[in-house]
Amino acid sequence: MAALNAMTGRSAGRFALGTILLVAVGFFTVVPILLIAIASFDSAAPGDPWRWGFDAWGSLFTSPRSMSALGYTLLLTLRVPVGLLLGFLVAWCLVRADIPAKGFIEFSLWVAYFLPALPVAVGWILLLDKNYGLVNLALEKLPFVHGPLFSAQSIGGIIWVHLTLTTIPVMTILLAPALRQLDASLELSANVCGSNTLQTLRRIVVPILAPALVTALLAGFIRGLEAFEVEQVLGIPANIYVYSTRIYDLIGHDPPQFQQAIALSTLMLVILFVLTVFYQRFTSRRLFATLSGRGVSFTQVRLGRWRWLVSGACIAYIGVGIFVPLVLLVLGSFMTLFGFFFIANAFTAAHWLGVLNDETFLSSLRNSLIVGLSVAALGTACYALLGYVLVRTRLPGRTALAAFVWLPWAVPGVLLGMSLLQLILDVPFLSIIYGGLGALILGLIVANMPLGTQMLRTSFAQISVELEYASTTCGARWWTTFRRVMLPLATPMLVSIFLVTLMSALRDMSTIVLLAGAHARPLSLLLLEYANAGRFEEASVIGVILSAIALLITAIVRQSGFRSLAFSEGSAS
Amino acid sequence: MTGGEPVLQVDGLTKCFHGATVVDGLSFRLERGEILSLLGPSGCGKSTTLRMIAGIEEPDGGEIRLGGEVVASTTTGTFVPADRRDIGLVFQSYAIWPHMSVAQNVGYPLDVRHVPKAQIAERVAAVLKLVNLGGFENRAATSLSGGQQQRVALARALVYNPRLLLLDEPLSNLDARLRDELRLELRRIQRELGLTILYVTHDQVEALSLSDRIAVMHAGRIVQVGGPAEVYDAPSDLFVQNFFGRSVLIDGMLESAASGTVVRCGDGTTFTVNDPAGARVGAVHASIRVEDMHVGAPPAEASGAWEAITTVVRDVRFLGDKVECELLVGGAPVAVHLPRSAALDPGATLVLHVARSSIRVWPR
Repeated sequence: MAALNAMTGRSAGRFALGTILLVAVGFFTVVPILLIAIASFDSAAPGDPWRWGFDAWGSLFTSPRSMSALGYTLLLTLRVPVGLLLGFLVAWCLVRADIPAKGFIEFSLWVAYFLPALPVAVGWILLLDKNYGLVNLALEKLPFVHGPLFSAQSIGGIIWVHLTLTTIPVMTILLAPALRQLDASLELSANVCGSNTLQTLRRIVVPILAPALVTALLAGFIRGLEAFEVEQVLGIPANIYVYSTRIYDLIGHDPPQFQQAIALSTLMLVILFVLTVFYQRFTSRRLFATLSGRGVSFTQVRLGRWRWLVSGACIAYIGVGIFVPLVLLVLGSFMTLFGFFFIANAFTAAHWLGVLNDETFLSSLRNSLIVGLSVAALGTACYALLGYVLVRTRLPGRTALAAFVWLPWAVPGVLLGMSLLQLILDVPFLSIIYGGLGALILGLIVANMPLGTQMLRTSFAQISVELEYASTTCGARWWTTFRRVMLPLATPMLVSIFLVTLMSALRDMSTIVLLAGAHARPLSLLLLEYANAGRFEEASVIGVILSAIALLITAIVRQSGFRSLAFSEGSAS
Repeated sequence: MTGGEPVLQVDGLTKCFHGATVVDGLSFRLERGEILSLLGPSGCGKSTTLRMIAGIEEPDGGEIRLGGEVVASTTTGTFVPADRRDIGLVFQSYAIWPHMSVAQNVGYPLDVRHVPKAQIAERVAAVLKLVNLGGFENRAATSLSGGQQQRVALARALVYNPRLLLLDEPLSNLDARLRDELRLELRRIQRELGLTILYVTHDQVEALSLSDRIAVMHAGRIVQVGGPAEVYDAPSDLFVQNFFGRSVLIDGMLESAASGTVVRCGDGTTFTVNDPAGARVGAVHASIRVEDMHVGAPPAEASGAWEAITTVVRDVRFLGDKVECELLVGGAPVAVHLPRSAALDPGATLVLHVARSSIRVWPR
């Protein structure tokens, strides 16, 4: 119904519009994945026509390094249940307990969520490197310690960085809204019948929120596979490969081993498909019936003296997990030789001057700005259109459209990049953008589509439909109504989406690493390249710049409210 | 628009939601300068009907004509969208755009019709004056009170002189005093401009006091159409009878006796009724409006046949200037207001006089 249907009026017009949107979105989300799957059964030599065969799969399953990459990928997902548990506790304290400094803790978690991971990982190298890490050096001073205790470049190091920087903050952000929506009278009545806080938590809150917890766990598994750059910089020196760094490795080979990379991608897509099916089943029967925003406004649980301890623990985690590595990153960018604190003239501004005057840096900065602003502007426009169509029209094929729009959420960056690369190479008119900034813009618009569209869907849905009817009945056409009533009302959300998309585009590495040609390199990829080459001084400089941009945008987005973001992230389906 | 055509003609209008028929073959017409109310309880399909006429809901069956022009027809597949129907619509929720000033809200319909700016300002000022909001042009729309916002919504729907004005429970969100005030004003504006209005409401007072005709709706159908006095005095069925005013509903058996047709109630009370048109001998409901029950003797100017019905006082409640007396009439409870001087106690009997013509009998 609504305005869009009013525009077309007849079913033929609606059918055409529905079909166009479905085909356009499907072409960039479903088709690339199908192409990858088909290509994994192609045994022809490069350049020859497609020929059925299992060569690609054979090479995958006979490659020890690919197999161990799968094993390590699995091993690293162990951080998700741990993060879920810790994140739930933090979320519960933030929502229900009377701990001090809540605002600071919550804001810091959002900062962590928005920070690019690689610069923080570089900061951790300074602390935990086997040879020169400050923590290791300090501990070796102790009489009973011989040799380094920690190593950043290990499974433990990778898990540590992910857990502190991403997994715990994301889980907190996902679970806090679910806790806020939980009718407090359910807990209060448990208290009244005599159960204490811990019993209530265990026997009332957790069982009621079980669907939300399982959803968050599955979401954590799926989105955790997005990880690429931390594994690249911390894993490769220790010869630890995960599926994403292995794909990058295979493509970077001389000659590139496309077939095996495609087979590995397809295998991961199958695993993700299974996870996604489970995820969808859980989100579709989420028990929100018991969760109402109304009910009794909750009184906060009094933790007494414990509240200082709990708050202190949260702040200590934030300090150690987020701010210490950031400070070290800044220090690192001023070091003559990265990691060597105790040499003469240990600090210098030479790397800053060098990088800022470097032609490569300047062109990368320009590329970043072009890509970031294009993705943010075009993306926001696309997401607004899609969100509006999904909320306010009854176009045929809407259910399929919603599924297509959501699909990239379940396809981590490297796999999405791989699929889009396949699409660009296979489709004649698209190959023009191969290796150029256009490919990066396309990839990032697709990658950010699920979150952007979902957020605008929510925001459009909150605008009373009668405001629109009032416009159409007094004579305004569909486009006028959309432009003069809907858009102005949705402006705060559009600005948020623009900024979030901009930041996501600026810091992204995994989606674009396979799409970028030698001359279309944005800042994030320059940072990755420096880190890969072991040039940590320059990497720190660029890391500081990217982190500063992220902090700035986080502060601006904070004005428009984080909660709507969290809601969308949690209910992206 | 052709001369003799009604402003609105609806034929066999039908709408289903998820298999349930919400509007079921509705037909009615609305003449120029007339106010027709669609009156019924919530869920009877009146708002859906209005939305189909407005063009924001597509009918599943039937035809809608505005001034003779078919704007929706399922037989020809015609569907003119809302923005080309030239009608005005006011919602219960006001639907005032929060990002625009009062003048911008009201001027918007003219703006989308490309009326020159100076003319818009002039028209907006005039219509705001009409709704008693003169000088409010530059106020933020959301800073106004509910009643003022509804006046803005009305002004916005009037400013482009639509051929038909649709009002969807426009007063329901307002408090009682404002509702009465705005109701009178609506009547004045309608007279002044000769507006044609389709008014959707569940409030009998609004419908009775505002309408030229009332269409009473029940379960997706119109059960009776007529002038306010007609639907009140001559309800076509028990639903309509119960919808207006307060009645007592007595279960009884319709019997033929020497004195004529009588209703024998469960507690043994009997009274004679005029030969009912629809009901046959057997189980019936007899209904009497509270204002038709007279305590003591019939009024002096009374004519025709009167029935004396003995009732039992069940409870007496003190209301200050009067008492509220709960009576059992033929076994059915009803509350009547009596002067304090009546001095009744629970358990006492009280004789009511009722004109035979005001007792209605409906098949059970």
